[in-house]
Amino acid sequence: MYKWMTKILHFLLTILGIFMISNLPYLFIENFKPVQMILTMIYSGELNNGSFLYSDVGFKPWNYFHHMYMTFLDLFHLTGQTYFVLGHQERVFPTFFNDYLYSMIIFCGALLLGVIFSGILSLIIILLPLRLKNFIKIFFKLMQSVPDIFLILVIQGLVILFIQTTGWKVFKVYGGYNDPIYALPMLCLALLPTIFITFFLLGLLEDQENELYVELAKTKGIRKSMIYIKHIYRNVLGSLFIHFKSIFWFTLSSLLMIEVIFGINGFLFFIYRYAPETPKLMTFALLMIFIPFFILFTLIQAFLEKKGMLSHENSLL
Amino acid sequence: MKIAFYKNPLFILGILIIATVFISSIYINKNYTPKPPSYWVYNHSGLVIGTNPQKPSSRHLLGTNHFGADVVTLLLLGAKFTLTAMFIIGLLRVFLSLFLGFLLSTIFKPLKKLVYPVVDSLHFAPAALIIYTITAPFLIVYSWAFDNHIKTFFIYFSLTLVALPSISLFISDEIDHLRKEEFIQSAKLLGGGIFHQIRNHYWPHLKPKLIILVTQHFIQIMLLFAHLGLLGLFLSGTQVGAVSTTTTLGSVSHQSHENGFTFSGNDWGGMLAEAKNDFMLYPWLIWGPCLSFTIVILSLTGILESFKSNFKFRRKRHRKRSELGKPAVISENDFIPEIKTGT
Repeated sequence: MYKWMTKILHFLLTILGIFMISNLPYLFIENFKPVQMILTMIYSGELNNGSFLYSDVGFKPWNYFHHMYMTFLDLFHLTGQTYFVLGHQERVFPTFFNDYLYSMIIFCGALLLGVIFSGILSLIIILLPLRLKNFIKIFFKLMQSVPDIFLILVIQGLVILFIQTTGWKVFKVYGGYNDPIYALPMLCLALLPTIFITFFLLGLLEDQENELYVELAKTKGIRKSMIYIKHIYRNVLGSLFIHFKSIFWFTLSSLLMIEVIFGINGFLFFIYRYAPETPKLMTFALLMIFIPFFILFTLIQAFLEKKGMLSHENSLL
Repeated sequence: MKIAFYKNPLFILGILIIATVFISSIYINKNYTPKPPSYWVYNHSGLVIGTNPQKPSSRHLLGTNHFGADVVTLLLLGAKFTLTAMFIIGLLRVFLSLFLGFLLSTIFKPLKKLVYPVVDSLHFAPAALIIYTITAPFLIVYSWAFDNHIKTFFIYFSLTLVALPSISLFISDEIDHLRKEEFIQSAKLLGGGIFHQIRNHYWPHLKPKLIILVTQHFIQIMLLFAHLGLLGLFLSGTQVGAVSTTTTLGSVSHQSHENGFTFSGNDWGGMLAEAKNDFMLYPWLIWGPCLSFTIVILSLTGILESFKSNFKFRRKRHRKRSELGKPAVISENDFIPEIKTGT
């Protein structure tokens, strides 16, 4: 019971943190309204220049708290919310939610593919001879430190080169407004968690190799691959889960890059386009990311703890 | 393997690359005379043979930009600004959070348990997007309404601010962990003052971790520059929003108002932003800044690895032995909790 109470406290405090992050612009600017009205007039052609206006910037905690409260109130009538686009207000919700679903399909698909790929890859690599294994590990280490935009651009370039030379359209490289693309961005995004989880799993698996239960299993004459599949992977799952959160985080930031590079109308791209004018979009988006994944992580954690795979000292949340 | 970090080939390679880039950047910045901008490419007899930007060739390894300037030269010109900004922001982050972390483990100790989940909210959003939403009102959307000094200040400020909570928690954890150690307890019992304790007992243990932390954050900041560049946000100027203004920061080396950008230097983020805008028409322009980011990040990673292995060797001597008599194996991921942070 106590554990669940702390969980709920954690949940509420993180939501407080989300409000604090997403309302940060209001901590420095007080009067967004007049500036926004001038922007509206510029878009409608009544003005062609805003240089006469000078806004000052300062430290405005009361304005900040006030806007946190206002955003909180906005949560209770979500359907009526509007955002500022090219000089007029439009409704947030049907569009935003569709974009969210689209992005989440790519994101969750990529994470899932990453976990599956890296499970298979690490099993193959660990059974290879030692020299080859070390070589592959160095390769993965190198791939891990290369920035994600470089990898994304290389893959995109290679796919385009492939299509140009052979003329065989394996993937759709671009999407229109009504026919979104899934396969290429998902595979591109899946590559990054695959590299990280594989490298991480290799380290964990090698640590487990010297454990007593593995030696016992070996003396009983069980095949090496079976030992890995049946015993070691199960013990590694807990530590993998603990690190999964940072993998989640950088995959999310790569998702933004993929949406920008591929020109996908995803929901992170939506925030990127419209959140500077309407900061409450950021709050909605962060809550929409946080709530489902927090629940998912908590359920997985509870499951792993029940199975005894998670030692108590390194609990995640 | 007992290799001191300065003898590690990875460290030497990394430092050499970064030093070469930085020094040649300073040299080129002194001796660079910009050519008059032109949209046409002429051959020796003055006939037009093409238009700028040119594709990569043997004469221009990474092509030229819209005004006929060589991209490699521009990258070297911008390296100084990018690397200096990286150093400033990285050091600011760690110094400020050293102070904050110290406060968190002394005065605000009771609050620390509550701070953890609040900071956790940062892990559910890309840091680049958070920085973008803080700074974009000043720099892009309402850029005409704000002063240039404020714009410059704000981008440094937000790049520092976004990492402060998590680093200060990390440092505070380290301090709390050290406080439980025997040698600190006995130093306290023997009557060591707080400054004596910090200088002689805390600092020697914090120093290697801080060095690793700074290097990690250099890498993270370079990644952030790249990400923010693709989002159209960079150090040396602004992307002009609805209205074209004539604001320029500092000395103008080239301007491209047609693309909706104003520049003061050629920092790599800005070049990435410009290349991203023309990605459909001139896709090769993006490779210059992208490759230079990759090279710097890889050499920083080499330096980080050499620090890590050196640090690991030191720590192995102090470690307790496990029950079976053989030393417990510490994997590389053990002593720095994050494998890689999202940016």
